[in-house]
Amino acid sequence: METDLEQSLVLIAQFSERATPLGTVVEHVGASDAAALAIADVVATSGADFVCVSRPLADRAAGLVQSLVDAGTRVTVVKNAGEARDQPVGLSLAQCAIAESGSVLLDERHLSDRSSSLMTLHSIVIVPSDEILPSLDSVPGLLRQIAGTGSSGYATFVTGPSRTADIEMSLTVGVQGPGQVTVLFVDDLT
Amino acid sequence: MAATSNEAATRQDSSDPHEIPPFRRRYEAALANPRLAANVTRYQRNWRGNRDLSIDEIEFEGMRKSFKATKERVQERLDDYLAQFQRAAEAAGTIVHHAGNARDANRIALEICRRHDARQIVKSKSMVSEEIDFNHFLEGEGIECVETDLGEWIVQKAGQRPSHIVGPALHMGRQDVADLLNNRLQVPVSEENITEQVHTIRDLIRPLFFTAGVGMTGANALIAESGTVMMCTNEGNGRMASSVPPVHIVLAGIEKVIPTFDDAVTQLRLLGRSGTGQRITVYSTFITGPTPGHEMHIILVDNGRRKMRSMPEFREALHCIRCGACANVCPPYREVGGHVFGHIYTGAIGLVVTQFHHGLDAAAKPQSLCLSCNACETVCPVEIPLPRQIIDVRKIVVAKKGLPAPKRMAIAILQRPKAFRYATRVGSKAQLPFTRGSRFVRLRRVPRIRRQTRWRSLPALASKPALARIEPGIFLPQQSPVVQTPVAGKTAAIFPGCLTDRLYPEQGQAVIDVLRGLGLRVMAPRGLNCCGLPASNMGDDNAAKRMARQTIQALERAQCDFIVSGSASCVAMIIQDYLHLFRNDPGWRRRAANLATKVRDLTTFLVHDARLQPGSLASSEESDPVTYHDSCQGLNALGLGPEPRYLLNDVLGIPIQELDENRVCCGFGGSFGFDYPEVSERLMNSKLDNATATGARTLATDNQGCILHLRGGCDAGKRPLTVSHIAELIAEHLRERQSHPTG
Repeated sequence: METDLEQSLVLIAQFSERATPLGTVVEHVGASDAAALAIADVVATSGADFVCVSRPLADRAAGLVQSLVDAGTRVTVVKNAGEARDQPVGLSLAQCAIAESGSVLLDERHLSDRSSSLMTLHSIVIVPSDEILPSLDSVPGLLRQIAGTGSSGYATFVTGPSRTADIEMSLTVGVQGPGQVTVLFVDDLT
Repeated sequence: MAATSNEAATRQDSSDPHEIPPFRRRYEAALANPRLAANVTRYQRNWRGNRDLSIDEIEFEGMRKSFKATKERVQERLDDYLAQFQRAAEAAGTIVHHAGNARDANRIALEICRRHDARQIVKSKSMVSEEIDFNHFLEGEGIECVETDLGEWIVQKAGQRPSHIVGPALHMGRQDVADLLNNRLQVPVSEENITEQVHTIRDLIRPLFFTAGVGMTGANALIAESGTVMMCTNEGNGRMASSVPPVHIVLAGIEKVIPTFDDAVTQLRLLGRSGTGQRITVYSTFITGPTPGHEMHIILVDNGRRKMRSMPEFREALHCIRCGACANVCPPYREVGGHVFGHIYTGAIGLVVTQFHHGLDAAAKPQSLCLSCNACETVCPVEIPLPRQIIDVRKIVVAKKGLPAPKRMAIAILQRPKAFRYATRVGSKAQLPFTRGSRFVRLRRVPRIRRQTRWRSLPALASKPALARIEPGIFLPQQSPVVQTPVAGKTAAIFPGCLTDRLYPEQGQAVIDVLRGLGLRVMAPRGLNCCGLPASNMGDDNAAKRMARQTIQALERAQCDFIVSGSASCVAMIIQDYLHLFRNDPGWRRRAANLATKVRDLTTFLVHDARLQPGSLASSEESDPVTYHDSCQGLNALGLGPEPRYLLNDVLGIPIQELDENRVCCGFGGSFGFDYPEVSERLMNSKLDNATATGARTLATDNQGCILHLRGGCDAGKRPLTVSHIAELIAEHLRERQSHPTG
């Protein structure tokens, strides 16, 4: 177990090294209550008092949702995509993170599940710390799993905030995707 | 069938109100726009830096070879992979359509829109939609198409087309965007603040995702094993367009199919880096079937692709992953932009594929803007032989439309050795009133040719060609070697190349002196003539073959251990291009292949065959620094980069001051300077400016074409820079050794 944890730490450090220059904020916390505090901070900074949470995250991390509520952050579990449209903060669950590219993999088949990472202005993505993989070499297997379920699938590797350099190569973040991305590694996600 | 429908599509286009203006008008407009070249240059320079850094992280050469092999496999079994893709896509709930041509593809999309009563389409970037003129067609049917990629939106609103596959508006700057918004669209925006401009446009586009009935996207790949569409974007508009509207239409060329997710990951690694210098694009999305409650369609478009597949010369163009790298290193593209350097598809790949999608007429003029520098092939992530394919397009154009009279005449003379000799003899006399004892023919003020001669003095013909100075077919007396090398005592035939022979015999002499100084037995073969490169570059296939055969015969007769040339261009022609030239002629191809094993450019010969050791030809005195200009054939075709630097710096002990952008062509390109003098002049001046900025007083290179061009520019611009062939510097050091042997 300890070896796994150590390896995760190394990979999270690598992830951070690759993702931070792209504008991703990378944080690493021990448990859901610490994660909730970090999220509450982002929500407060954005001037809001609520966060749009994707259903898969709410299902997977009831403890985190409860901690958020306890911390005074209102939680909207998104049922209709429109609820997340241009809202300040969205919270989603990643399948995994890839250290090589600083990417998180979002597997979001339903539009309502997708909208927290798709339509909000600041996307916070939760990654269980043991779900970090060293390289894109593991990706084919994951994608095969997602596509091979017999139903439809919509998976995206997100690598930093939405950006454009279409005018004079001048990098500008926040076009049609979230202009801010926080990746939150949580060791013990409940 | 594809060709017929292409012609139909072209006819349909010709009545368009937004018809593409004639080439000449586009060319002149680009030259007259002072911001265009500055914008494109900035883009190219930034891209090069970012891309090179990101490429260093992967094993690029191995990866591109492996992905090329994948793409070859796909083309061999295209229908199998397409069927596999379709089965899997349909199993996931996608509706798959096939379109033979542009009109079919547009009609299928229209029918889908009608069925859903959609009046508005939000579009993510799709080059296929540009190819089939999708927006124009749909808008003619009363359906509004809105581009949602920022650059695409800008060019759409400006009434233009993308000038680059990846950066549609890279030819424009903030002033152009401000002008568009403030004056044409009446949307107030800052003239300086790009962030504000981006966010203003973002807010204009944003609501449309929620009102549009259909979202359309392209596809970066179609993954056969699962029926998945891979889509790579940075802005997030692709995710919005494929998610929010109830109907998602994917427009994809049939060549986009790849077998597996493993191949998709390789493509991701190559695409982000080659496109924008990113490890991976911000959003790499894998869509397998419709979002629940939505509908998903994929329109697989042929539109000339199967015809391309049936022609071995062009088949590899179907490997393209639309990264735009070929445009990002293209020197003429830098000066005129993609609206001139291409048709709908821009950059080198555009020059190749245009004939299949939009007809030969659309390709005829843009292809002539390629100056065969070969830079595109070096960065292509699937190793498409773009320079060679562009020449093959040119050959088709020339076969159909013929050559202009001056080129026809030049080739007629070049391929007849006697006529060529006579012409140079007469020329060397006729030029005297213009040379006035100099090495240049200065015609700066001659009215009708001023455009070509104002900025570059032409070289004077030598009074006696190099080959006329030695008895052909007979070995020159052997000398004792100045330094010990494994080549002493071997035989070498020289191949000076026409420019050396007729313009710069002293450079040919320098090559001979170097070889003899190393103790080789040297001779000039009988019957040498032009290698055929000018004819090939001008697109005259028959003349090129004729001259190639002459050259092969002459060099075979020499029966030497080595054939050495001081001209990187001629060597690249003989050892690489002949094999393609004779691809359908096994006998001559075999002879060319055998010959190629003996042919060397001088630097390769000295470094790899003679294995000159560091310091072995260093001068006793400290040498002034030089700057080195990599000729395109040397660097991009022969892969020479370290060799000339090793020779100058290590062997001769001459310090090198590297010039900025040393990989960018000097703008010579054979007859290019006569066809497009403005572009040639700009490229030359930026090369000479960069050389001057190094502080070195001598520029060395390994190609006579570059020497002709750069010396002419120095003379016309009164620049105090000496342009030398590397052989001259080596010969000078060797002579010093011969007169002061160091034991």
